[in-house]
Amino acid sequence: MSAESDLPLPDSQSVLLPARAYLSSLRDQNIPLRTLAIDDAEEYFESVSGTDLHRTQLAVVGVVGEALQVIEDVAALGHALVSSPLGLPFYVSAASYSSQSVNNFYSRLKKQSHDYFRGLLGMDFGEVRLDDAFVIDPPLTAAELAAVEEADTGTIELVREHLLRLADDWERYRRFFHAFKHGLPVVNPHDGWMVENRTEPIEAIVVWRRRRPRAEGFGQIEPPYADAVSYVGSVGRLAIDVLDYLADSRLRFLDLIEFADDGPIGMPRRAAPPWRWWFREASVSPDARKLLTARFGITFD
Amino acid sequence: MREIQIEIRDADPAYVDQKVGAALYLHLRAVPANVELRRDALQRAHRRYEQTPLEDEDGRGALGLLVLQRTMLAGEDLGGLLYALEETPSFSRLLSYDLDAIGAIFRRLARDREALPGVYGFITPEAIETESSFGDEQRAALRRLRALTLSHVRRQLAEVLHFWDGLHSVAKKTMHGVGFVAGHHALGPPGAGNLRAYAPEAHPRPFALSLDTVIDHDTRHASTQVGVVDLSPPAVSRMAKAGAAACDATELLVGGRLHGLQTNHALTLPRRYVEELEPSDRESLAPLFDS
Repeated sequence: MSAESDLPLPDSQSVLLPARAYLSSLRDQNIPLRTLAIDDAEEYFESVSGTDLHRTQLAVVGVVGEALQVIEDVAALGHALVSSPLGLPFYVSAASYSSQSVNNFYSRLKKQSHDYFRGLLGMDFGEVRLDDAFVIDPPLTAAELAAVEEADTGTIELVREHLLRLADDWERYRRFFHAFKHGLPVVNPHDGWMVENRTEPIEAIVVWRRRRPRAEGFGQIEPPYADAVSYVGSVGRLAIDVLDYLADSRLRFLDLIEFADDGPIGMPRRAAPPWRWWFREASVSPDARKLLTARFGITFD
Repeated sequence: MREIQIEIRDADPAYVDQKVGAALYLHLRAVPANVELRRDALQRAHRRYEQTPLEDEDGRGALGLLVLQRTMLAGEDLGGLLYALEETPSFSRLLSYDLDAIGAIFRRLARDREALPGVYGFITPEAIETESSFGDEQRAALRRLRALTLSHVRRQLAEVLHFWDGLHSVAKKTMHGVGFVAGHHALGPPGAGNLRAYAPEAHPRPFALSLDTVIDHDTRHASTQVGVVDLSPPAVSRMAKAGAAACDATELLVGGRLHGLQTNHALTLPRRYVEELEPSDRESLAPLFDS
């Protein structure tokens, strides 16, 4: 059963369908690409770890390179979703790379409002709350609406926390990422090393910084390298989860829309909001969780 | 306070300093391991692409994009080194190039036949004729080895240049936000709306549409270029071949330059292709390479 949406939907040919194809490609092709690349870099590290210090360090930089690409993807998509310039559809804006927008996305996160995150996570559509935009049948009760609000807030808290962690790790590792993608200027540890107070040698992975007036090394990844790889790999996978959530929250909405050849758009009536929540158990009360389960059949992992 | 301490090994520090500087020498010594990392990564991605069933279009598409990226990285490593070693060798050039500069040097070396042996530090024809320690047979064999080596390097650079001109800007998109729409999602149903027009129905699969948006904030104008990236088996094999050529060319470049720096010779000729010479030439050159 279909009904005309009350939501003023954008044009299907220039916005909705390209956005759907873009996000579906992200989910089906591009996120798997990132997952494969991180797994592959970790396996390579395992294969060379301990054979030679330089090769081992390079393999660590390889894992950093693969993991930070996803952190950058999250920023590129996130920036496009909430700050797309000139009113461009987000998929058009996401295809415009600017290192500045990536750095700005992460550096401004701490100060972003609750509403900013509602927009980022697809809970609002412009000024309209998505749960107000659908014909949910039967209508939500006041208690159910309060439970939805709790779940939304819990989701915002968790994603915000994840994004802040990605922001920290972006800042911590991005020079190694730049080295990975721009010529691999990683110092062979047999030839160069960090010293503290001019005398005490420190084992660390050292990269040459780009665009400096004189040769300047940067070293912050120290042994044990297996721990560093494990940590960076987990950060990359967290970024994949966040990216997947950002894409999925939009796709669940776009997948509801019925596209006809001549352009009319319909959305079926629903018994539940189309998105999923992602929160820690403790951040939503037992009563609210019970209501969400009873009303929407939601289960909690 | 932390700072970096370096040591010049296996070479005369004064000679190194005069020719390329300590930091660039250190980097050259690190490059063979870099090449190994890039080559292995490229081969693994290509192998996995080939092992993925043809009907798994998303899996092949993902791995095709990974091959594309890893080829790009191998090409950029080579281009950065060529840019740094051209004319007066400079470490700051190694760390400050941009992609246009790399494309320019690939094109310059393809066009200017005299420039290539200079960047690689190959022995000149004049030096072959005038070096008093060479006999006539050795001179003839060296001329042939030089020509053979140059033909290999030219072929390698031609493959890299072909990839660079056709795909480097698309490959760059794999690093930043993966702005690609998978071909089957572009075609649909329901299809990708206006983007559907860029997706050729009969194109070999998989393929992807690349999106590249340029925003001019001053004029408040945005334009998006949409291209088709062929990720079918022959296209991905060509990418992997170009990446392998970049790795080979880097190895040859750095091997020769390092050998020269470590033996105080401004010009050298790598032994890499000596096995392809006639036995008599190999015999004449054996004392030179064994010494």
